Parts: sequence; C-alpha cells; structure tokens
Amino acid sequence: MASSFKGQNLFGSGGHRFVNRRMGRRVVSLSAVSGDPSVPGTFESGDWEVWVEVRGRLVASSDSALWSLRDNILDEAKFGVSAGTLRDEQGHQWTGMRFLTYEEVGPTQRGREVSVGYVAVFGRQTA
Amino acid sequence: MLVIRPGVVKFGGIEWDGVVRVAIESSSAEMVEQWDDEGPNLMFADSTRRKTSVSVFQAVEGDDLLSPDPGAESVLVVEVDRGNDADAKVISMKTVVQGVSYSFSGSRSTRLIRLVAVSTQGNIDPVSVIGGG
Repeated sequence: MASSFKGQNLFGSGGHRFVNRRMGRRVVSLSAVSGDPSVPGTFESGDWEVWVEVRGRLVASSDSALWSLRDNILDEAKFGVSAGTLRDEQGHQWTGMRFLTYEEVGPTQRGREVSVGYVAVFGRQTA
Repeated sequence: MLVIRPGVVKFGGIEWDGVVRVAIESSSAEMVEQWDDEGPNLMFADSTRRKTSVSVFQAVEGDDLLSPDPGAESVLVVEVDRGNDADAKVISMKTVVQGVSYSFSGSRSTRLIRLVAVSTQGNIDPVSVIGGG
C-alpha cells in the first residue's frame, strides 16, 4: 500500500519510513517558564502535539523530474495550506495533519538515477 | 578491464618499458541505499561516487631511479596489440599518480604504479577505448 497525504502519493518515487516524534505528557520546566534559573521543579502542560516524520529518498530519471516531485511536495508544505489525513504504507492514518517542513539531507546525487534524501515533518497542531 | 602484456604504454608521452599487466578497476566510492516500511530488504541502491583505479605492473631489469612522483598528472595510453589490426585498441585516460611500490620474487623485481583516472566532467567516463571491432 502506498503512503499518502490528503490522498496524494507524494513520496512514492522512492523508499521512505515513518517516525513518530515524542508522544505523551508534556512536562515543562518552571525555570524555563519563569525565566529564573533558580526556580526548581516542573509542571505538566497537556500532551505533546502529534508530530510525524517521513524520512526517505526522492528518485527521478532527471533533474527536472526531481524538481517536479519537489514542487508537488512543497505545494503542500506552504503557509495556509489545509490540513488532511496522513497515511503510512501499513494503512495507519493520522487525521488533521499539516505538512510543516520539508528538508533535504545532503546534496542531490546523480548516479544511475537522480535522487535526494529528505525529512518531511507533519504535525497536528492544537489551538 | 585487464590488459595482459600490452603493446606500448606511455605516461605523458614517456614510454614505460616492460609493462606486463595493466588493471583498470572501477568501484563505488559512495553508494546510496534506501529501505522502506514494508519490510527488511533494501529496495534502492545507486552508485553516486565512482572511482577508477589503474595498476601498471612493470618488470624491472635494473636500477630504477626515475619513478613518477605521487600527484603527477598526465595522460596514460595503453595500446592493446594482438597482431591483428582489427583487434588493436588504444585505451587512454587522464590519470594522477597515487604511488609507486616494488615487489621481489627471487631475482625478479616488479614495479607497481598505482594511478587514479580523472574526468573532465563528472558525468563523463574517464576511460576511452578506441579501435577494435
């Protein structure tokens, strides 16, 4: 099963893996909140927002084809673009996710194919 | 590529005598590999950095006081002559000397010159082979 975001197969050109970021209770340092490093202790402030990373490699036959793949991804990562459902290759779904950032890992590599590694971050932001 | 007992071998126009073997070996200096979430098997691999190494083996009969210096750059030409014009080939490439070493077996001495081939542009094979069928 292909992964998807809002029904689009954005990462299917190459292999990719899903990684859950920190989950559970969010514990905040009182010294960080107060700005006074002498204040001891922590307090709970709700739960961590759901953030999911997709780490993979875009693969294309040419540089221009790779740019097309990038552009399709970046169209979803822009400010103001609506949230949607993120689904991994095993069928697990995260609803209400926004595409937050897309970052490439290392340079574009040119061998038999043109490819580049990336990390895409999705999040369900609480108001 | 492996050439046994080539014809003339020249480096920068200077002929190297007694060459018994030239080995031209390509390998990946960097491989890109990618897995997915479907299972444990590698599902993409590509060679994105390649390196061509050349080893020239020479039988040395006497003293050898003029070895090429490491870092020296010049065109290496290897003529493959099998006594038949149709099979004659010329292999050429710009190379940089990596090092020179010697080995000994009884009274015989062998000089090994190790070089790397360099290309004018990353997408061009540094080795050219001209001639032959």
